[in-house]
Amino acid sequence: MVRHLVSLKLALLRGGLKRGGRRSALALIASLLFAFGLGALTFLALVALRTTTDATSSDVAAVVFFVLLLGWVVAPLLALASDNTLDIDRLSAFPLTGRQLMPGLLLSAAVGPGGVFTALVLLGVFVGTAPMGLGAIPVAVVVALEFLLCMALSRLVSTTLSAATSKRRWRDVALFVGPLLALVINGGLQLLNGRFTDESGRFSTDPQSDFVIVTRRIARWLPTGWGAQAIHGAQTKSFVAPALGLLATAGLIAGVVALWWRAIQAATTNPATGGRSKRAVRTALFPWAVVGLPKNALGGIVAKELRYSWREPRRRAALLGLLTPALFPLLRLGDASTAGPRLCLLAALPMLTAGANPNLFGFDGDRFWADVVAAVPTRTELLARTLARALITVPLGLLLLAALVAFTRSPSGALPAIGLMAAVLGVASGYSAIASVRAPFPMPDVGRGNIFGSGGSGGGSAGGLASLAVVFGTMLTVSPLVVATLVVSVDTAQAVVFPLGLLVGVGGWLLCLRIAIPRQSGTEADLLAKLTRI
Amino acid sequence: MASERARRGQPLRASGRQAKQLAAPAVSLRSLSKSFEDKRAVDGLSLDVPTGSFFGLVGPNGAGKSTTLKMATGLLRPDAGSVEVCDHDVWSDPVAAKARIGVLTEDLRLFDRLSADELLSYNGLLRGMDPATTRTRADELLDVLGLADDRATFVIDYSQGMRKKIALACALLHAPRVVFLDEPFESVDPISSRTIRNVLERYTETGGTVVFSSHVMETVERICDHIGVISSGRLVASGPTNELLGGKRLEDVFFELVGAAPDDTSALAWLDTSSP
Repeated sequence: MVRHLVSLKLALLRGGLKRGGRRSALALIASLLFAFGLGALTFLALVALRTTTDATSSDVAAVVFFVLLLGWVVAPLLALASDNTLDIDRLSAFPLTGRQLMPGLLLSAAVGPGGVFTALVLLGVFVGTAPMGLGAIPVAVVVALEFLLCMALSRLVSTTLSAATSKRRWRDVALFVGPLLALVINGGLQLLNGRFTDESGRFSTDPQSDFVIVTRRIARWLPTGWGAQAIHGAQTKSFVAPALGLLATAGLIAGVVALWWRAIQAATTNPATGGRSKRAVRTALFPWAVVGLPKNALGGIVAKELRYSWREPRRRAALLGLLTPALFPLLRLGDASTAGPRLCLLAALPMLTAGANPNLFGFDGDRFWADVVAAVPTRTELLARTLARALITVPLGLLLLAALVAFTRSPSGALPAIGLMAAVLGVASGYSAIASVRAPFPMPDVGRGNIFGSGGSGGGSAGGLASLAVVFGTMLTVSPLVVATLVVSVDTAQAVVFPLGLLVGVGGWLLCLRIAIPRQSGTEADLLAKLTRI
Repeated sequence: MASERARRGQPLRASGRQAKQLAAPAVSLRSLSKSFEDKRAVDGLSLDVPTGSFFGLVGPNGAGKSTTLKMATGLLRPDAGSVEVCDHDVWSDPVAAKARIGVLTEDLRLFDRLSADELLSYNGLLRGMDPATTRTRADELLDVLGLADDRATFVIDYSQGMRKKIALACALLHAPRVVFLDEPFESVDPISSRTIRNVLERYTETGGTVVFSSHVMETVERICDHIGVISSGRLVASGPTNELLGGKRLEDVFFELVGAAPDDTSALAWLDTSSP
């Protein structure tokens, strides 16, 4: 059975390569190379622990064990949909006992980029911390046990949660939380990097600082630290500490395996029933904030778009993206003399990312048939979809502007900023409307691809090119206003940029809509054909 | 005027008897053709669907049933030919024609992150119906279709049968004169199937016209009063069920018209031995 499950995992990896085409093959090769490269770098860094004190090296080992275990618990849950061997539900139909399943499931978990990375890192811990002679034996055993612990705990969690993870809501959350988690980890690492580097950028840490002392203490007494304590005992040639550490780790693994056994019994005798997750939702189509919308096709489409902007993971991710351009340079805004003009540019940036959406129908894809069969005119569609975008963006933009004004203490820049925001949003929305009708492309469904990107939209670089064209077109159109904002005095900017910006925004939007709307009747069906994946 | 009434969801249909007395067909397809790259999906198909009829369109997989229905409902532009629904050309007068049409597609791609209530409300708004009428009709449809308890659930969390029923509710909400249903009984449990059938039969009794595609012969034979058989994109037979069948079973007539597949299963002799 071990051989069959490992073969299944390898077959799935091969199948993924064949089915997904070149893009998928590249993604797998890249992830393997990344895992190998990062694992090799970590291995080298850990080997360098031989130059540090025993206490430091064992504490680093404790932190490494903890991070690895955390990764093994979280990552498979987020990537469950991509690995059938992780899902116990799929095996519940076969006449297999837990005893037959467990070794195979453990080993198949280790096959893949995660296993390669973990093996390299743990090898690094061994080389970096093991003393010469017999003392290396307990370290080798600790490393092997930690590997086993990672696999077993990962399997326990994924088996226990298999019923929940097969539900649509879990997948929605995982799709959103996964990339977000990666961002948070990246941010955390940046912060840590700041903690451990001096002003010249060199690695430097004070072992007596509170932060380091507390971290070491926590890492040592976590369950993953028990193995590290055994390593420390082996380094100091103590007999009791390694024995106790090994026993504690082995006991932990035994407990995890026992729980996993029970979870397998429960999952194979009472598998999830199709993953239907019912959730009562409010029954009004119109969100409370926009109850004033007209009760017609225009209002209906706006309301639907607003609902979808939160309920669909990819659109939710896009909302998050609205704020990012403004957050990066926020820290550089301190100079009071140039704060006003900079504030205008910063406030206008999210309007650009929000407005530049050259595939307004793409997320709907072939669901757009419902609108086509109701004979909704293209003009109404475009008006509604750009309006919905504005209804989300404008309040967020104004909030951001208020924060920027408060941060820079330059209220005089607010009016020109609003003008520039209106111009950018209006023009970008207008150009997007033209692109959406002239060059639409279907987007893949949720769950297939990166929700922060087009996720293999099928539009390929043509889709990206349309986005670039809208961004550059908008920048070119509003550039006179931007220049005016930067060169004229604040009073002039308030008197000129504000009204002119509103005029350019609204005028540009309406003009582009007029250009975008096809003259021939029945072209909605042609648009639908372009949005339908065959 | 009639078009405006239809857009607002007011009944356009005459009573059943009156409707059946109308001479003009509810749907008229003339020389419809459609190709996808080098494959000719529909090849010069012409067909009249009598007003008030329950019309079944049968054919093997890939015969062109779904493509025909998509062209008839204005969802797919034909390469050639014309479509009229209640005397309105679907492609030159789409607003008037589509106001009289209800559609249930085969793949059921709905806005499924809306609840049933929200989806019906959305459809009502697209059709220009006033919210109060939409509300009343939605309540009644959800009750009749057995979805009232799940009205606040996202459609994405519905079973296949429930999705068929909510899609049917969307198709009927504006009281169309003709409903086009692509495989409405596929993957549906017997209870849901009976509910859908009852609703449709009631609809035709009051003058509505149903055009539906299927490859379940028993269902078509049992409930349709007119049948059209499509093969390789062409209409090979059409007419009232009794006349078309001539006392035979639809399955037999179908095999005669489109050709039967070989049924040699001798290669599966190993199935005679049971597992240990």
